[in-house]
Amino acid sequence: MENALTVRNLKTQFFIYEGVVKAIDDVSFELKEGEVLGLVGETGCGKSVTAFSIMKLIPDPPGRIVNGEVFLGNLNIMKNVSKEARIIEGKRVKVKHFYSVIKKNEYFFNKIRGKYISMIFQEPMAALNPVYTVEDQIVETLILHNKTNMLKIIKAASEHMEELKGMLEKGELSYSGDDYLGKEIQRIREGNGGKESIKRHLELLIEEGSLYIRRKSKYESMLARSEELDKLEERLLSNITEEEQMEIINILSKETRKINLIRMSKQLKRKVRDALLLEARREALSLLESVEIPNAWGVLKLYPHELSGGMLQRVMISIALANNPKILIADEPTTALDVTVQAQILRLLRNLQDNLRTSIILITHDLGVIAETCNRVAVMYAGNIVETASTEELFMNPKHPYTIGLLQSIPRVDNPNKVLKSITGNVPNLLNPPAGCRFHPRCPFVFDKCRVEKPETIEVSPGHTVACHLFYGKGVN
Amino acid sequence: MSTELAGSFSRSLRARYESFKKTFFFFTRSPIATIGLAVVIFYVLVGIFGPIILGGNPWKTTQIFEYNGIYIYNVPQPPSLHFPFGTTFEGYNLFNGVVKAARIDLMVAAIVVFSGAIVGTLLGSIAGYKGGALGDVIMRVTDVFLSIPFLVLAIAFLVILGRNLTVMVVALVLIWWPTYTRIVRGQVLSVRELKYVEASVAAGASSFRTIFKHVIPNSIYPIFVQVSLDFGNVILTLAALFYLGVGFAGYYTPEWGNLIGLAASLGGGLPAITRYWWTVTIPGLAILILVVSLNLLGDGLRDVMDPRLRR
Amino acid sequence: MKMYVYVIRRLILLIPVIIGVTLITFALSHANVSLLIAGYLGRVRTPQHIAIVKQELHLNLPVYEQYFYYLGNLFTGNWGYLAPTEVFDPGTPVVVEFQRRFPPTLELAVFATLLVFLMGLPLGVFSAVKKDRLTDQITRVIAMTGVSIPVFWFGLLILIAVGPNSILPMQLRLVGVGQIPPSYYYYPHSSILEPWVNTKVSGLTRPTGFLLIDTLLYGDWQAFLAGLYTLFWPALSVAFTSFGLIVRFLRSSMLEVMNQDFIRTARSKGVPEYFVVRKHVRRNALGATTTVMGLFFAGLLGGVVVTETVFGWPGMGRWLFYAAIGGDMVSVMATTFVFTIVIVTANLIVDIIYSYLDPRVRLE
Repeated sequence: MENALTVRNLKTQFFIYEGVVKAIDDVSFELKEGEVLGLVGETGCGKSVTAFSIMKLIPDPPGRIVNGEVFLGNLNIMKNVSKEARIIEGKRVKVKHFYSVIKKNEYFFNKIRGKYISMIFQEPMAALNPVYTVEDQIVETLILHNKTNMLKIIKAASEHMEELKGMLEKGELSYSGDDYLGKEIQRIREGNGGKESIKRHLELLIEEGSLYIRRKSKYESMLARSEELDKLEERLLSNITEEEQMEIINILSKETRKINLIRMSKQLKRKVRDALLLEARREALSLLESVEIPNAWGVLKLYPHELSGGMLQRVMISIALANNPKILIADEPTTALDVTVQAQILRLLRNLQDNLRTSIILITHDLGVIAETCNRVAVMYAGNIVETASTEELFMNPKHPYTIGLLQSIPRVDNPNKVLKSITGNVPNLLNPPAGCRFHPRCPFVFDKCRVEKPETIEVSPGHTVACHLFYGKGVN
Repeated sequence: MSTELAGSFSRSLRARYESFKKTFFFFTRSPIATIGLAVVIFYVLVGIFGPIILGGNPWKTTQIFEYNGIYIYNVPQPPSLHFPFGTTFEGYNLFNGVVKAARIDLMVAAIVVFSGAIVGTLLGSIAGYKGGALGDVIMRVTDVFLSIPFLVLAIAFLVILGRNLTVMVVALVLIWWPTYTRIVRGQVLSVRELKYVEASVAAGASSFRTIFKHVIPNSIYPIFVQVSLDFGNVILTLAALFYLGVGFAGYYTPEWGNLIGLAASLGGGLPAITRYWWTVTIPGLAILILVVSLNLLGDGLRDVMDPRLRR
Repeated sequence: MKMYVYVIRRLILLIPVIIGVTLITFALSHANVSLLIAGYLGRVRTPQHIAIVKQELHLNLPVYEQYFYYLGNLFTGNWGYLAPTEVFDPGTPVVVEFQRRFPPTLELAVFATLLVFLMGLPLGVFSAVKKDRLTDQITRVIAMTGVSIPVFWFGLLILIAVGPNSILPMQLRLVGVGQIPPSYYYYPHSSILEPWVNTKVSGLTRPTGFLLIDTLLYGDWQAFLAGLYTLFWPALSVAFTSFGLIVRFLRSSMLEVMNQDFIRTARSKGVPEYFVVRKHVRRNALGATTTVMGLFFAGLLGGVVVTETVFGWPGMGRWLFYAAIGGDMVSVMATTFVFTIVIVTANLIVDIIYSYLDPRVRLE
């Protein structure tokens, strides 16, 4: 069974005036389907940079993904990395820009971001656009990636208008068909929105249906086109040749450009007579209900600065999960929130993951969060992954000196010792990282080899890997 | 206590000197900004030494006349060896005039900009520090002055209060001080909010001194930038006022705008200007080059001193 | 908060500013009393006349009373009369003169602003998106040169290039009376604009006073196009010398916005880059640009005044110029006041647009 995500030899560097910051140095890990992988480390160790590298959100000056492969299932999405990062070594390190290649890769990645891999960020207030309502921002991602589904729901609604009207009158969800509409009704039922919300859902569905009937040809052709494009996308994300890839990208990008502009201008008007937008808004309502936001309909119309941090984080989660991505990367989602809200959000993430079978990479510096939420953990230090294991194994049986130091430094209530243990030394400057093992200046078990040679990753027991010379030769294979 | 102060003062001076050296180093990295600086320095030198070297009366240096059907006039001569910039109407030696104009423009601009900066900074500090009613009043006054178009106010002043140097300087200062007030007030307000300022005030340090110790270094940068931009704008406004004929010191003042205005009016219209194009083009170029260099200098300063843009 | 509440609040804040402006204009107009009196006297300057004028102008009363008379006159439209020293019809009430003078200035200012936005907005956006590349460098150079050119000089250069003596073909030249400043430039050959300019001769009435609108109202296409051409050059003169400010500011505010977190979020949703710029960045950046608008308009109107004198555009700026030369203080003060009101209004409109673009502002 393949992994949801496989990262191999990922290397990202930042080319700034003072030199080259080797932020990520040969990072490899795997994310299995349906699991929560924790990525833990101190501030500055490269966890966020790893996440951004996977999503290709590294700002191009000054950063570059220099090397690596990232497999989404079977597909290598970092195919052209080496072409982009042609470096000319000289007195000054120059990085050449191949704009055509970069552009092509961008188009490719825009299909992946938001649909197959999505991300939530640390400061929810800063991460949402302050001049657009919550609704606008959720609808944006739905229209970008989820058109076919929405059109199918509208079509199904148009075919069952009578039943819908009956449901509205009686005020109950009594549909039992097995098609798209049925699934959607089921979802509404599970949303627990209350009577008001059910009424709104039904009203919107009825309106969409009637709009569909009125302009049947337009919507049918839209649906057909959308299904075509979906097939193209699927083809794009399989292992095809470069030329074919380029072709498909050209077609797809023209499509997006056309449709989105018109949609965008319509989106901002309140009274909208477009079935697709109405459906997107209805979906947004469902999404907000699924992340347990009370009064979802009211919240939709609000602006980010009118909501609290916890609510905004839920909104962000709903945006990220809107298109059922295979992978969700959560970059310190709870760091900016207070502890009670933190517990709620984590619980929410776990629930959603159970329901949707999304694989999650949870980035944090808080070992408590790791212990509570993750199946497996990867520990990062100074741009390297130093240890990976299942959560239990890591806490019970840490192998790497850094992990041991981390765990020892957690203050414990039952410890009579008043002095807090810490790891001596400081996090290294990644402009000039230490030679050999990057941890060696601070390691209590350091010996000569550590200063010179970079340690390999050794599997010391099934599923438990360490990157440390202490375990050389003690691997399981 | 005072020796302590002196010690820390000289230490901070040295630190400032070091950072100034670093700033200068960064600055010279950018070729464009250095060119700007060089040109400005050139103009300053010309302004200081030019009139002394040249001396003499620029008038009636040629005696070539012509009749254009209305009256006899002294024909402007094109640039030549004898007259590097040629002459304009009434036999005015353009080279002489342009060089002398440097002194007047730069001096007046300097007075206006620095007075405006000082007045504006003072008022801004008061508005920010005291706050309350006084602060509000000052800001309202700022709003009022910012609503009056620059040129219009200056023209009004000069017409009503007479066309002399003092009135011109006062009018221009009145136009330019509000910007500084806004900048400084913003700085003071933001510094007041800083946590460590609150803390040190709570610990007993005089809030006045603390605030200003932090305000001044932070606001020097935007004030410098504004000064370099304003210099250019003041010179442009001066030239415009002179062109319109509301300048001080009489009809034949050597000033770039005035020279252009002279050409336009004495020549009697567009045909003359088209024929004797150098009378208009050359003084204008003098202005253009100076203002462009000032702007380059300002841009360079901004790029170098902006803490966010440190590469 | 709701929009109209915000608007009302802004209007209330406007009042002290207007009062301040009236104070300044009052102080200025009464600073040089002899000049003030001279404006009302003709050739005759006997002491009795002077005494009568002083009485009429309430100059013997204490200052604050004079101020109230001044305000009263201001609001009832009694703004005095054009001085007899004027080139224009002396003795006309100033308010009437405004009806003639205001529309052309407004026309020029609006056209110039349009040009500025047409030139400045796209350039500002491009400059920010393609930061430090060739487009950016060239744009910045052009913008900065524009701001450094003296307006009147640029206007003169334009006239040299496009005026009656230029080397361009006849169709493209602007022809006027030949003096500087001339009275109105218009197309050669057909006196296309002549009837619109010299309404006394042609008998045409100008319903709105705006050249472009009037010609449209009468259905005279040729005159409309001629008017457009005539309007274009002075507007370009004003626009080119002010648009650099907008470009520079838009560029820096867009760069600032592009570094914000929510742009990264938009990218992570798979929004294509051009769309990120157009939807997310632009709206935030435009909001910030509106703060610089006030200063911008002040500069623009100054440029309009100068350009009117250079091109002979019959608007308030030229009126101000002649009044200044001739010592007609009443007109000077009146035009100053109106210019200020225009800027204040423009600021208000800009603020309202800003609050529409950025909902956070309404919360204050």
